[in-house]
Amino acid sequence: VEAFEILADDELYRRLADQQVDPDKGKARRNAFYRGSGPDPEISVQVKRLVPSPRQALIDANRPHFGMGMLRVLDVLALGLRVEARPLPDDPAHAVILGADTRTVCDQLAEITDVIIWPAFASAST
Amino acid sequence: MQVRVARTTVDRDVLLEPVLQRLSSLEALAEDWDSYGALPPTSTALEQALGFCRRVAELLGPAIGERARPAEISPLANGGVELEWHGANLLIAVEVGPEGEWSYLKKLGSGPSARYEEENLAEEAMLRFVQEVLLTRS
Repeated sequence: VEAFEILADDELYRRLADQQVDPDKGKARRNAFYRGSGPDPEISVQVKRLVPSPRQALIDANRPHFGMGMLRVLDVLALGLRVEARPLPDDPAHAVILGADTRTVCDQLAEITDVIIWPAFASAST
Repeated sequence: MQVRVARTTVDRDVLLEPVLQRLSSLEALAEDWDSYGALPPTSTALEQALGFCRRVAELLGPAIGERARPAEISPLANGGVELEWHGANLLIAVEVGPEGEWSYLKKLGSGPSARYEEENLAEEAMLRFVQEVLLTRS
């Protein structure tokens, strides 16, 4: 696994399920940054410059029907969070956003996320 | 476990029909629906969420109409459900945990200047809180 550094002008991809986007608002929902009992303390992302394309990243993760959100590292840092490279054998572009420990921060992350690929919708949305 | 969201007479009201449809659709979610290990909503969370929506609709429907219905209903990774109401420049997200625990996030405004408040409350206190906020800020 090749180590890399997160750059200030990096952009990050976050996989989004159909239940984690609001098609009416055109936005990600705050639940996109929850895991287990609440806010995810280590939010898995991928670094854009290390991924061939967002569509390919979904295919490689065997989640071709999922959507993809994009966040700018500068915006993430401005929320008081950290981004750390965590390359994995099967995902060399893997990184994590650290420090999201409140619903407020998850909502702020949703606000700065651009949905660049919409998931396939399997069920009705409200 | 397959759960059926039980209907009552009041649910035939147009106010609650979309809520029933949405909660019923969440029953079909499978484990790992978010690809990061999320659990499907529990029967407790779904039933509590529906019961809360009924009470809000009964209390506030006559005063604020369709705004008494949650604008959004989302599953949570822990098997809970989130109900979101919108008022003028305001959002209240009520989280119903997998065992029926209650908490909320209140947001005033949007973007970088938004102000937030979050707290855990008992169901009755949550109902009073939602009532107070929606009636004064609708």
